[in-house]
This record gives sequence, structure tokens and C-alpha cells, in this order.
Amino acid sequence: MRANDSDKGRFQKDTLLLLPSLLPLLLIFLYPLIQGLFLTLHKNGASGFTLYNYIQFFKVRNFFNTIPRTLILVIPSSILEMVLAFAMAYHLRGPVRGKGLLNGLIMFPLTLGPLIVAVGMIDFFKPDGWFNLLLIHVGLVSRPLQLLYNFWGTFISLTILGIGFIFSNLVGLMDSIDPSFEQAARSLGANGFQTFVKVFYPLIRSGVWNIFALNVIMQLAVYSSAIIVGNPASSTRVFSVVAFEQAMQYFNYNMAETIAVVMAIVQFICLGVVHYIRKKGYVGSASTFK
Amino acid sequence: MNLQKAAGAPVSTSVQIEHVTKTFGRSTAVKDVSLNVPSGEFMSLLGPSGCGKTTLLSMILGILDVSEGEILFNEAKVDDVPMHKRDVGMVFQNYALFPHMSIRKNVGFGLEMRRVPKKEREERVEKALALVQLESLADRYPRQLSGGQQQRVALARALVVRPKVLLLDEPLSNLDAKLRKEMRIQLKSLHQELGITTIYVTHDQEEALSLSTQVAVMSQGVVQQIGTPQEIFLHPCNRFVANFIGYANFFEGRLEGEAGENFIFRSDSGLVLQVKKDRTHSVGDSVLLTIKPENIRLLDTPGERNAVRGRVVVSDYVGNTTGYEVLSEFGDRLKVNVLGFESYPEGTELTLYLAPAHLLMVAKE
Repeated sequence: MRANDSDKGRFQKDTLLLLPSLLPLLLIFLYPLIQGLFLTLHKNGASGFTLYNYIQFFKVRNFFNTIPRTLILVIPSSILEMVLAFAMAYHLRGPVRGKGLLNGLIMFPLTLGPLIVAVGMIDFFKPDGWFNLLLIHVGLVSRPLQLLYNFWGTFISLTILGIGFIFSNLVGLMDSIDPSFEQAARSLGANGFQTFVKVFYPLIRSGVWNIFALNVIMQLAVYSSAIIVGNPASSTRVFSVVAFEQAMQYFNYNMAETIAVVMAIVQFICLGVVHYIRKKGYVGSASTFK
Repeated sequence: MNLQKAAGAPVSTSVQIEHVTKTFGRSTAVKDVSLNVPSGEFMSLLGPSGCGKTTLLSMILGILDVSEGEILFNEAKVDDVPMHKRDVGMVFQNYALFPHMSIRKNVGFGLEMRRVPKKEREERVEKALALVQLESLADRYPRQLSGGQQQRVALARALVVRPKVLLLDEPLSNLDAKLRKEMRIQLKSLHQELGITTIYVTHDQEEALSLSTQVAVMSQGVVQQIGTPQEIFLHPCNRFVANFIGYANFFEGRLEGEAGENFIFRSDSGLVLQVKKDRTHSVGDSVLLTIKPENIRLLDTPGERNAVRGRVVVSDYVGNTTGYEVLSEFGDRLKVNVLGFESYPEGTELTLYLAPAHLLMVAKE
């Protein structure tokens, strides 16, 4: 009994050690979140609780359109990023000569961040940049392609960053699969495609969907590339652009917070959909159970 | 139950490995290995970790390409045949049961890949599971099975496709000692019933000797000796093989003379022993003499020939037997296993008897 009591006491003391990390979380994340939610329920400059901001969001096209515009930009780019990153990670799984260098090159944009990637893109994709000069030189196009300051500018920027993010996660995931599973499938008569479909993919499927969900959630908050290489006045007028506009140009923090809350709800819905799809297949360890 | 009928009648195949070498960059994992496994035989590749036995198995399965030499099934070259078309059943060391499939699906996987009709597939899976006595666990998942049960599922999965050759890569190494013994007996009876050509990789000499019709002892990528378990056990060809199968005491020296049906041997340390004559040695030869720790007896009285006096320096109690390291009067360290419960503490003076019939002359390398 006494031992239990002393254990209980020690546990409580140990819990206090969490405080240094919990306090900043409470102050920096939880308090602003509650404060933000509170703001959304007030009209700018007025007192009293109201759903005015939410009603406005869904009534005014300028606000409401941020949902389809963001999703049309982020979902297709995330799918493309997943396909490309998956193909590269699958090819580079296991021991491959020069793997470290290739991994580094693919993940390099992640270390630069969206701002440097966007500035680099401007130089590369401008009408007299390398990309257009090459296309014109080989005769694929007669006039420079317009890949900047529109939907495609942001799409490409998101793709470059997304590939790095997804790839970096997939490499670890794929390397964690015991190669004997594939060898066992092959020894039982499965060809390469059957081994992939029946054994390899089902084992990493759950992890793949998790990575996809994380990437979508991150990219739904796209801002700098939508401003620098996109068209923030129309096709890349995404959640963050409009929220920033409301806060910094119109000083309407209530509306800015409302947009942020709607964005969070869209993120949760995306997460829910992905989670639902993920749960449809095998979710569990991809190791042997010796 | 007629097991042969239950698993189908596999068409057994002979396996020839001819001058096979495998290199990885500058290192050679398997060096000029030639083996012949006749149809229906059970051959064990026995050797320590890193000796190349799993590499050799991987080449037979098709995971690895052969650098030099060739592998033939029934005298037909298979080096260029892709892994999924070789018809080789494999039980992996970690069993490699697909964790996302039930036991039934795991066992039926090979048949599904071969497009066996569903009804036949179901029947064969049932029979294969019955063969390993796991019918009642068909709908469970690998994570819900014990190590021994997983090993049997892996075996059923490999056998259900009626492979030409069955490969087993240390399948018992993850099991506890009791289960390992049970599984060994089950494996042996399965092989006797089914008659599939089997190649078994192990580092456990007891397993290899108990299961096999032929044993190939490997070291550093080279086959040191091939023979029946009895040949390997009674006549190890060199120091490595002798040491690997349990001969732990070695004496270098010379045959100085004869005494009836024995040679008189004098070790470099000065120890004089009589050893039974054989046809390959004669007086004057420089030889390596060896004896197993369990073949050394304790004598109550000193003075007999082949008796060595010494002092216990280490004792290691392991239940039915106790292992002793004894420092002889000539400075040799002898390993002795003594059956029974009597214990001799460190420092005890003992007289050891090395019977001429148990002493063996082997090549130095």
C-alpha cells in the first residue's frame, strides 16, 4: 500500500516535468486558438455573439470561392506529388548505388523552403528563362509558355516541395518493409506486378495514406507560392491569401479568423476522408512476427 | 493420413551446383562450390554465420545471380530462369508470412499466383493445413500465431505449390529448444513422407546431423566436407569441420612409434598418447589429434596409459552435464564434459582418460 502511495507521489512529481513543454503549447497554441474561435463569433467592431462572419463567408463569393480554389490547387497537386514521389522511392528502395545523393537531390527543395523555390522558379520559367529557351530551341513550342503568375506557377511550386516531403517519408516507410516478403511472394510464383499489388502495396498502404493526408493538410495552408508565382487576385486566391488580406488590409481579424477556422474544418474533413479510405485496407505492422 | 496424397505428389528434382562463385564487389561470399543433391535427398548446408550458406541458398532460389558457374535442376540450367518460375519452395528464417493475409490466404497465395481454380485451391489449402495440423487456425492472422505455428504455416505455404525443390533457411532458429526438437522430428517425417529434394541451411550441427541424408560443411565460402551425417561426425576431414561438430580439444605433434594396434603420439607440449592406427598415417607423420569433451573420462587412479593429470580452472554447470576446462601438467587446456551431478570446484586435481579409440587424427586445415 505504502509502495503504491509513494509511486503515485513520484508519478505526480514526474508529471510536473512536462510543464516546460506544456506551458508554451498552452500559451502559443491553445490560447490563440480559443481566442480566435471567440473572435469568429463577433462581428468586427461590434459586441455580442453572432454567426455573422460564417454567414458572410458562405454568402460572399469572394470568401466562399477560397474553398474550391484551394482544393482544386492542392488535391491534384498532392496526387501528382504522391505518384511521382512513390515511383522514385519505390525505385530507390533497398540498396541502390548513389541512393544517398539521389535522396538528397529530391529532398533538397524542402531545405530551401517555398520562398527560395518560388524565386528560383521565376528565373527558370520566365519567358526568356532556361525552360522556355530549351522548349523553343528543340521546337516543342513557338512562343514561351506562361508558367508563372497563374495557377500553374503555384501548382509547380507546391509539386516541387510536396515531392520532397512525400519522398522523404516514403523512403523510410519502404525501407522498413522486410525484403523477405517480396522474396517469398516471388518464390511462390508472383511476378513483379503481382508482388507489388498483392504484397508490397497492401503493407505500406496505410502509411502512404497517412503521408498523403499530412501533405494535403500542409498544402491547404499554401501562401507564399500563391502570392509570388501564382495569381492571388483570381486563380490562386486561396484561404491564406484572403485571410491575410482581411487581417492586414482591412484589419478585420474576425473575418480572418473565420476563414482560418473554415480552413481548419476543410483540413479535418480531408483528414477524415483519408482516414476512412485508409481504414478500408490493412492497417498494422509490416514486419514479421517471429 | 497419407501425407504424400495430402500435399499432392511433388515431382522431385535433382540439384547440381557446379563451380559456383558469388562475389560482392571485392569480397567473395561463395567460392567455387560444387554440390550434387540427388532427387529426394535432404542436404544440409552447415556452417557458422557468414560462411556463405544463405548466399548459396539465395542463388538456388534466384534472389541472387551467380557470378561464376551454374546451377542445374534435373541437369537443366536455371541460372536465367526468373525466381517466380523456378518452382522452388522456400521457408525463410523469419517465415515471411504476409501479415495482411489470413493463414488460409497465406497458404493459398502460391496457388492463386499459379491461377489454380478456386475449388481446387481451397481443397489443396485445406490438405496442406491438415498436413501441418493447423486446420483450426486457418482464419487467424500471423500475428495471432506462436513461432512454432508460424513455422508450420510457412512450411505448408511452401509445400502446397508442390515445389520441385524445398529450401529451408534456418527455419528453427527462432524457436525455443523444446519446440525446435519437436519441429525437427516433424520436418524429418514430412520429408520421409513427401520425398521432396530439400536443402536446409543451419548453423546447428545437431539439426544437420539429425535431419539430413547428406551434410555439406562450409567455411568462408568454401565447402570443407560433404558426406553422410555419420561420415561427418566420425571422420571430420580437417580441424575446422572437427571443431564445428564438437571436437574441442586439439593437440599438434608427431607419431613417434607403434604399440600393437596403436600409434604412439607425442604432442609439441610433451603429452604422450596412444591413438588407434588408421590407413592414412604412418610413424614419423606430423598430425593433429582431437577428441570430443564428452569422450574424455575421469579416472579415480592415475598411472594408466593415456591418462593426463590436470587442475580444474573453469567449471560450467548446465544441468545434466558440467563442462570443465582443465589445465594439464603439460600446459594444455582440455575441455571435458562430465555427466552426472558430482561437481569438481575450480582448483580440483583430476586425472583424465583419453581413450585411443576416441582420439582422431585430422588434417590441420
